[in-house]
Amino acid sequence: MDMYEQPFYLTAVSHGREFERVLKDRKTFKVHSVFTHAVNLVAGSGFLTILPLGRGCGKDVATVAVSERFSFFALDVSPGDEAGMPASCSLWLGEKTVIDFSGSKGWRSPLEAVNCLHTIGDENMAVLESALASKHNDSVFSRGFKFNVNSEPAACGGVIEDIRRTLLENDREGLEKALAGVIGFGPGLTPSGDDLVLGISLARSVFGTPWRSKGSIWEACVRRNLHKTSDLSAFFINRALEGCAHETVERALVYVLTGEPGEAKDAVGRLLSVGATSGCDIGLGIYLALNWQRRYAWCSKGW
Amino acid sequence: MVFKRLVIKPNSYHDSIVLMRLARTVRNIDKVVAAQVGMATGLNKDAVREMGFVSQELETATANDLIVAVVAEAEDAIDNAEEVIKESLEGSARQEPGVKAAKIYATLSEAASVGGAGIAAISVPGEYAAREAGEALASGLHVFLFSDNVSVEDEVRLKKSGKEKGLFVMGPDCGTAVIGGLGLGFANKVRSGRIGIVAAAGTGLQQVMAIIDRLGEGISEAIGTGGRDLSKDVGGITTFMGLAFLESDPNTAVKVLISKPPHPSVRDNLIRMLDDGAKPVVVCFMGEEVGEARRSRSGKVLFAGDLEEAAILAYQLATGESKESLYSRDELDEMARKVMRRVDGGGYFRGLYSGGTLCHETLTMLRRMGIDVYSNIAQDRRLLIEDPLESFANTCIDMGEDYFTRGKPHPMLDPGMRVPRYIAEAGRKDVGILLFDVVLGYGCHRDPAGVMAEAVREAGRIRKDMGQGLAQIAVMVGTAGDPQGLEKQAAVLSEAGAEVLSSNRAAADLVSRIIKAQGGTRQCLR
Repeated sequence: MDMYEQPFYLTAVSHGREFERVLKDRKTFKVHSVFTHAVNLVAGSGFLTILPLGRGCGKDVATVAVSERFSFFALDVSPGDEAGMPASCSLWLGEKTVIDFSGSKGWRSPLEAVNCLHTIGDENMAVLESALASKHNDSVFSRGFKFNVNSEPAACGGVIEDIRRTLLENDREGLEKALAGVIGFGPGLTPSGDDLVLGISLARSVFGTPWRSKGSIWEACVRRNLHKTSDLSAFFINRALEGCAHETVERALVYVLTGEPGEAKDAVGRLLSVGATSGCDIGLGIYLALNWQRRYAWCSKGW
Repeated sequence: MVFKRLVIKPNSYHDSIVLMRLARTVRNIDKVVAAQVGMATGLNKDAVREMGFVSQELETATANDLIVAVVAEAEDAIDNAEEVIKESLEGSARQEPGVKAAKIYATLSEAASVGGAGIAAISVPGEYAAREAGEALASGLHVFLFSDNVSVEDEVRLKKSGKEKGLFVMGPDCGTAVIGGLGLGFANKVRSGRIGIVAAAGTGLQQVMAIIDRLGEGISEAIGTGGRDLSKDVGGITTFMGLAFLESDPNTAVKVLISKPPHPSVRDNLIRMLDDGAKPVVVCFMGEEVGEARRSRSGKVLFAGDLEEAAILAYQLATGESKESLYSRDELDEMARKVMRRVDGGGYFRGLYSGGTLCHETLTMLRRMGIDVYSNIAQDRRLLIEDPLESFANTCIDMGEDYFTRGKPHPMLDPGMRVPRYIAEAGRKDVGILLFDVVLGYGCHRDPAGVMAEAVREAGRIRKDMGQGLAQIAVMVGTAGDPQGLEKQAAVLSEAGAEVLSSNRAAADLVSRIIKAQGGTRQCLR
């Protein structure tokens, strides 16, 4: 007897604000991509992601109650399939899968709890640095990078130094050129360079003043280079510029900024284990942004 | 110009999700303006009339017929729609490459006419179930009626008719049976043995079978009756037939009866019949106080206070070996100590069950231990929760109850439907103990522990963030032969951080030890 004959019925456990909008407006999406542990939906330039419960939520994410071993490929959902809500609280993926949102709870970003931040603690920065140093070979950017939280970030002779220098010099053209060599660089759905930029952008968003961010050269230069990468990755970077990312990333940042060292270590450990190199690249981005903030207060200088 | 097409398929039943999908597909066909797909109930016929359909066929269609109405701006759109409808409704039997196709019959009588079958398992919406059961009896088949929402009148009529023909009507709302080694509904893979069971409760039957199997004995037959069989109206027709069958069955040495307390008039006749039998019998009337006298007048009937005790008494009678309980006092003490270390700050108990019988048993067990527990199935009205979505103090919810399953899969099919509630309870500061059941076997979810393990992990993360501990306890009902793999399933939950027990009574006992150790017993009634 096989209870897995079509259609599949999944229960949503939590969902971010963008999903709330979909639930309200019953907007129609298309399935963009299907992975073992994720389904991405797309409408225009907007993306939504469905993940298993244990893999965290986010503004554009909904989590569903499935086992760790469950593969979304079993759903028989293909890119291009329609995803919509013919009835309230039921999201159809293609013709064979329905996700019930009636018991799903709205997800709140842990970054919402970060207020009036003035200092970045040495201890937690050291936790992040040590975790990154132990995995420095996992990221093309951190290879050869000399981590030292108590001194000037050592020049690694590469693109990171170019970014730092051009930012310090408020050199818009130079920064854009540097970012042109980063965004879209590397394999995968979210290239390594994009992950690095995502980490920098998200950490910067905590300190930046939103109404001034449009005039800042970082945001402007990043946005101008986004056409060089995949739509999905560009979307994630855009969200990071707005101060949003996946829960695992946000938690790592929050705990580095406000948590106890033990909590920071756990959260950073989880971040660095994401994907092949994504977690490490994002973590490095966070580290650089926080280091530059400590050193130069770059987020508040209109860079 | 508008084109219309009305298709009526007599006696055609399809899963509501299939019909929803079909309606959506038809509506999405270019130039289709409106489409209605559903059973020809009064309301659906009204909806079709509002679309502008008037026909004698529509008027005479009954709620047993499938109705598909399409309005389009072009004739070819109508043709396309008809093609889609045909393919969806008739093509569902399409076989996968390399897979031997099952023969699909249009009606139950057509299937019965082929011959060779002895039982008809019926699982259609309640309003159609009685008719199909009637057809099965007319074809000389025993009936396993999984469907609920069958009227008492229909149940009595069917059972009387079955009795006259010497045929069983197991159900309605019969969740489990094992007949001739074949599991029907939600059934565990149990070893063959000398204990025969008649049960009005699906998960109750599964729990007893699972414990017997764990102890090394087996089942001759397990006959389900449906929850209302021992009511005054039904008079225990199937129960009496089942017990009589077991009495004469050479493979059965010990009989077991599991039910809610019967109507007094039925109870007297039942005990008299059991006393007159030659074989020993264990009776568990769930929720009934057993008291001191644990044997009937003849001494052949032993009364058990709970499902575990029923299983153990039956095992003792069948094997002659003595066994007190599945878990010793010391084992439970040790488990309580282990779990207590995680609870630290204390807190209320919340139980989220997929099986109503197990939920009911937990309420009974805790009440016996002086702990009041609120529930959506509480018999004490003061403890009845009106809004099943709410919890109050110590609360135990049957999430397989109609309120939760209307239009959704039962939690034994989709354990995930309990997860949002589980996570929400874990996030409440005043909660310290979470209990849930995991039911294995054929018909159930293929990895229920895997789904709940994610919830257990998430609950652990939430509590860690809150700086509070949480006791998470799982009751696992299953056997080593179940397709999900008993040990593997238990290990998954254990690794996630839950304490896993094989007996619901033991789990309730563990909960009571934790509550008492925290100094809380009787909670204030609202």
